[in-house]
Amino acid sequence: MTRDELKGNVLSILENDFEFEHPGLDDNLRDDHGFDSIDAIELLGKIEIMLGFSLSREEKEKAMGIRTVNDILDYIEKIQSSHHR
Amino acid sequence: MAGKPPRNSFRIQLGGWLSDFAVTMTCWAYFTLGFVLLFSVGYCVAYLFSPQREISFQRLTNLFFRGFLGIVRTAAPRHHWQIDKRIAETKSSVIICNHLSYLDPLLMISLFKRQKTIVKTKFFKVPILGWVIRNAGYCPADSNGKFARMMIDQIEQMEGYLAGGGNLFVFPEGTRSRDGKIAPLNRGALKIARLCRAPVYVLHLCNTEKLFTPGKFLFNTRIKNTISLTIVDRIEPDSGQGLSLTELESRISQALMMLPAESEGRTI
Repeated sequence: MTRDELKGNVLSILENDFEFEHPGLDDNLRDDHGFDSIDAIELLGKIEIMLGFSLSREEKEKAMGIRTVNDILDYIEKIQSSHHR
Repeated sequence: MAGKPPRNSFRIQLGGWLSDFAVTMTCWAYFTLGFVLLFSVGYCVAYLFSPQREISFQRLTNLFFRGFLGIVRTAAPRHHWQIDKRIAETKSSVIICNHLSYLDPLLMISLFKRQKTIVKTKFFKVPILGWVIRNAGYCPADSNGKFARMMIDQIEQMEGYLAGGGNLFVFPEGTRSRDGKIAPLNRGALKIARLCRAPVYVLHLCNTEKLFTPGKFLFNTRIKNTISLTIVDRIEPDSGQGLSLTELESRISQALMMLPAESEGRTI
């Protein structure tokens, strides 16, 4: 998936499933939208479905530091590339 | 005519203080010696040999705090307890309650044989207590550093835990209310309830702060008081899924603000 496709999917998840209103790519998700660790874990489940494979425990732990939509996109791209090696 | 306060008044005050002191020390003795003498072996056996360590730790903790509350209720008979009997029968639910006193979590643990809650991470670092709550499967309140793995594990296992009959109780205000008003709610428990499609029970707790007042070391055993715990709302997963998180939070806040008398007559 290209970054633009990922961006569309992730924004759609954040708006539809997490009820975010117009999330910006560099918004601080925690401060601006109340995104917390429980949301992060729920989002990881949706990322797994989107990518079609399960994430390892270590990969999930790394997601706990996500702060912005761009962080999410960087994270997914890294995961994608490591799984395609 | 102003005069010296009667000597009797001083004696009554002293007697009351001594009573509070004796009850408080008895509770602390149970909390420390009672744990060491009566429960530590059970916890060690459960840790080493139980095939279901989490469940065993939860049951032992429930038993320990039933003992603690039993002592408090016996030693402070002027406090009357009215606990809705249906609460202890609740299973597979997220239980949300207002928070008034440090007694509140102990009361909740004493009510549910299988219980988990969300705990501030500093408590996981306390010797013995941290070991007990970690092995009971309690969930850390944030996921910084080494708590990330623990939180991921607990949240991922929560659906199965709730489906298997366990309860998650949470005080979503995050801290004790000092004025009886309901503070803005943390949404973590509501998110878990939606994620796990679990029913939400909203409980209203009254007057525990009169028995164990925030900021005071001693129990106040002398006043006449009624401590009550009432179900004020229940939200089934199907209706909960139909609500936005904001609507769910609003409904729970309103229920928490409702006086128990207002909920009487409603079918819950």
